[in-house]
Amino acid sequence: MKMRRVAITGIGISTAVGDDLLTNISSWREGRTHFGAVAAASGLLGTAVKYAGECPEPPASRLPDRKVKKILTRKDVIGLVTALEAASDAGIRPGTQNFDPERFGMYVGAGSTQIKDLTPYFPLVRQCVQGGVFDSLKFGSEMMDLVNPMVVLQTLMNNTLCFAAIALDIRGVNSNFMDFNVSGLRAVGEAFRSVQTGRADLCLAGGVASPVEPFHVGTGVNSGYLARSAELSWSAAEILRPYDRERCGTVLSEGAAFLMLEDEGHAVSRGARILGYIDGYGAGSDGPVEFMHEESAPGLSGSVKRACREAGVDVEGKLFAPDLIIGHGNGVMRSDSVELNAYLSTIAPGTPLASIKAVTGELGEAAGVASCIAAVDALLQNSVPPTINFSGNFAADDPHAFSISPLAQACPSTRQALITQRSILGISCSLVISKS
Amino acid sequence: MRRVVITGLGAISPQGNDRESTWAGVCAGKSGAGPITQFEASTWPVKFACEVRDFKLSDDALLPQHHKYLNRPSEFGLAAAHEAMMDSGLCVKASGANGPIEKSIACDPELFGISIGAGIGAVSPKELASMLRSLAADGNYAELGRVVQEQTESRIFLRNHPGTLAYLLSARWNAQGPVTTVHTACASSGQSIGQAMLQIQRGEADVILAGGADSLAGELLLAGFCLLGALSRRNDDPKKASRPFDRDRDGFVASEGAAMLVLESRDRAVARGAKIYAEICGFGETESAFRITDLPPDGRGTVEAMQQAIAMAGLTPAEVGYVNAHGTSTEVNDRVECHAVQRVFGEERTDLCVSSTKSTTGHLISAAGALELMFCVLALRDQKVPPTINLENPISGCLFDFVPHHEKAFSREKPLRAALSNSIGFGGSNSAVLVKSHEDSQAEVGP
Repeated sequence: MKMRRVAITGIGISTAVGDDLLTNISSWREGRTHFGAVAAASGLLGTAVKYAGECPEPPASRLPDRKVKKILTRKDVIGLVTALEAASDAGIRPGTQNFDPERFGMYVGAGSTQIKDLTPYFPLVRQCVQGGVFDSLKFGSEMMDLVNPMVVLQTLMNNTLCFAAIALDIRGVNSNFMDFNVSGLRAVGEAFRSVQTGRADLCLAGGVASPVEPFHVGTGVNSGYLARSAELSWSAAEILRPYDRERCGTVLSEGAAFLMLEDEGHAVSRGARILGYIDGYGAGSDGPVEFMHEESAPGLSGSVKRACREAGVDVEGKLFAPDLIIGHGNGVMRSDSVELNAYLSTIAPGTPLASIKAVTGELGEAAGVASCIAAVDALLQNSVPPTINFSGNFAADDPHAFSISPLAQACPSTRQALITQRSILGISCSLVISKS
Repeated sequence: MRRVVITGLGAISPQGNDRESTWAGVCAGKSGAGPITQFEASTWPVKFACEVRDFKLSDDALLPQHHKYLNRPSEFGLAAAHEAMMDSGLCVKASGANGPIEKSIACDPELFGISIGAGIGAVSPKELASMLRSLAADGNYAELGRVVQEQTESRIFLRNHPGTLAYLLSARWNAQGPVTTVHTACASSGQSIGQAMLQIQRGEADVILAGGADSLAGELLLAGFCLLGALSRRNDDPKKASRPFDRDRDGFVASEGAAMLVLESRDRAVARGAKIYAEICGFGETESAFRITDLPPDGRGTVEAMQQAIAMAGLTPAEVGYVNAHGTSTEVNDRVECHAVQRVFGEERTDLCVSSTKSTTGHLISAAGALELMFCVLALRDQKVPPTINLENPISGCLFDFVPHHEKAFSREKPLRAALSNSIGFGGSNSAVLVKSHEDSQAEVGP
């Protein structure tokens, strides 16, 4: 089979930093975080989490049809607006494309269970609890009058995909992945495969997350995954500390990030601007490891090897030598440790490594895609973004092999960047992006 | 491009708690519907469903430390996967000094993947109620996170996350290759299996355990579909409620269960002398890009998914003898799907068998595509197709054979060589997966 070269022709991103590309890029380059006190509406009052990255409400004017706000949750509104932004950046707007819609695909990473999506049930559920017992008879007799009939449609995990497809007339290959915080990078990887192998000429791919809500926070605090920011003396900007010895957990953020991937020939023929290329993709899983108790990350090592091998990344000895890595680095003690150790067996010592999560927060399903965007910018600027809050001191179990800096690292020449993402349950994806 | 075959099958369904009892029930035209037993539903607008009954998860199906992550669909998925893995011969029981032990056939963990179509997940009202009752009665949920945080059961998020089943399976079977979960509503497991096939074709994995698991028989999800008006309200006669393609259909019947298939590169399966059920060789996935719940009247999207699957398999529509239709028993789906099948296969195909096994199983939502593909595979094995029950007044204008009431056997002279499973999801995603008989004298066909 003839493999096609896959170009990146559009970018859209919305985070707490802002809902446009330039604002987000400048925050990464300059190392500015935008975490704030959690909004009361998020239902987190009294938790150990004080800070999070919450997006401003997207204006209804950015939606293709304001009526969709009745169906879509906040997460999906953010996802839809951002997906349309990426399409627009690629020069594709609703009703204007002159290519075959069946050759236009979309892959999305979206789907964490959110208790806030169930709020239409809350009043009736409360009424139906007597002495700790749920009265299903009362619930059954009253639900038709008291619960919003749209509730099940609002909770569909594939709503961003559905509404973006309608808005942009996307009729080709598609899927929606629910692999926790790897979902978005997997969506990009699968879109890459579809374009590369000729199943589509172009694909919109990305992820959306809105994890600043009780389910994620309650479990995250209990498991030690989240920083207990309400109990720390650090400022909001200092809490998330990827790879640092004093790291104490991650900070949740909401947002979305999308890329337009396109067959190079297709992009050239329609005069699209090419921002970079995807050269390789790999996926892996740790197998029988325990949540928050992992001792290694074989799935990450495997995904890195596959992506680098496919991309033809330079080899030094038996190790791959990409020009830089935008890593998973989420500031969770064990997670960062197994990540660094996974690189030790796959990546050449001295390779520049950065995590943008200290700036963006843990963007869940959108995280890996945001890292892709940071990688595109890093390649264009010949500069590795800073890993803010990294003090230069590693934890005792961490290898010291890679070049991590709280300041931007200038590189004389960059060609290929490796992007990695690893889920809370040990599922990993890696991608290699090259310069346009 | 590598060829991909199916070497293991497992199922849990309202028809039975394994592959063969499920298949026997479906072929016998037995309805799985009955009064809801998981909770008291006599006041509900819909009082019946197709429930899995007498199910108990075997300890062999998961790692012992993972019981804390289980929910109902995950239990079904683990059990179906265990059956499929044992059936494939990749894992066998052997005698040990202290009783039976498992022995795995050599399989590189990095080339062993998991691909699951999973439901949207929902906490139970009991879990929800226990959180809500700790809050003030004024409807202020600002402190809900505090209540979740303080609950002693801290795994509620993972237990209810649709992606957890794939992790449990990867841990149980030591799958270190691509592990993923898809949710595109009713198209989920058709997509998860199709994508697994592509991954093996491309060499990203040698073996993938693929399928789906879901349960719509829990209170909150069932309530959601009641509210939407999508469910049949034939409370007086549940066994007649799921009636795909019938003029008097009034909605689908909620169901639950799981089906898992072991997909394997053909060369590897033949080399290890595996039993081969069928070759999986066609996959189409499209978006209708129309409305969240409605289908475009011309069947756009559904048509192209089927055409893609047939083309990928290198077949013509005339070579496909059986379509396991999505056939939900809803007004719009069945009408549009019939039109789409006609467009793909031709209006004159009177010999084409098109049945909906949802008439007997109900709608397993995210697991439906996997279960129905399994039926296509078993149809090839047994040279018979399952019926559409309750079809008393078929939709007019369709000449193909809906296989009403009773299974239909194929003759030796004109055997069934290829079958297609069709799935259509809320949100507009469509998937079509095609399987064909595996003709290789070196491999045993079927058990």
